Amino acid sequence: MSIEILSVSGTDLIPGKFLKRWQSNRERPDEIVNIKKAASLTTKEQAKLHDLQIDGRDIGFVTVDIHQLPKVNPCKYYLQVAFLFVSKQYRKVNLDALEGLTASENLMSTVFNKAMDAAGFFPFSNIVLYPAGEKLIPFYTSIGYSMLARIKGFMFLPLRAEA
Amino acid sequence: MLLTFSVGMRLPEKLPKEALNQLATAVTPPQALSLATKAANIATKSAQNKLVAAAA
Repeated sequence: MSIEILSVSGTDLIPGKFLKRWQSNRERPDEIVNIKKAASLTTKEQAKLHDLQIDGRDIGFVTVDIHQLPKVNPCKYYLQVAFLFVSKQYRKVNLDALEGLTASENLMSTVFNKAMDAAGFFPFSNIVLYPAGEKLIPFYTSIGYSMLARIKGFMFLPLRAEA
Repeated sequence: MLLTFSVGMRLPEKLPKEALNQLATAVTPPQALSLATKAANIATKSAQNKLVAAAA
């Protein structure tokens, strides 16, 4: 079984070609809009898009970008999860190939691992995201995210080991 | 009630002190670390399988 996280770029992000790779919820047209936006952000080099494949099948992807924390001295950055998408048939499914993890758990853990690696040489302090819906808050909480105080909706995951 | 989601929503330019304090001091919770270890092991195993298959 081959599990790969591939960085998608260039002509692979052309909207028609990219959309064909994913199965969205037909009752949620916003999903297609968001997939296109994520591809567009990546095409403009404002984000990186990582695709989870199992035996060559596209399962889901996550788009991340980097921002500076406003008015923090010395300069600190955060990694933002711009969009997480899993094809409809793999949502909430514990996959044998991922040793019982869901595709979302695997993608989000991959983001965490990449951010921790980068934090060794870049001043990253947190991963930040805005859930695409209230129903997703319990999922993000279960993998370690907390709500940011007094900023409606934003959640964060610190990249800091306990002292 | 959350705002309408838009891909790439960013933190506001002005962050309240409480939020800044959380971002500066909070530590990674254990469930994030254990999940990350599991995902890293899956990736390592898959890479090893690929090498074995290539060598065979």
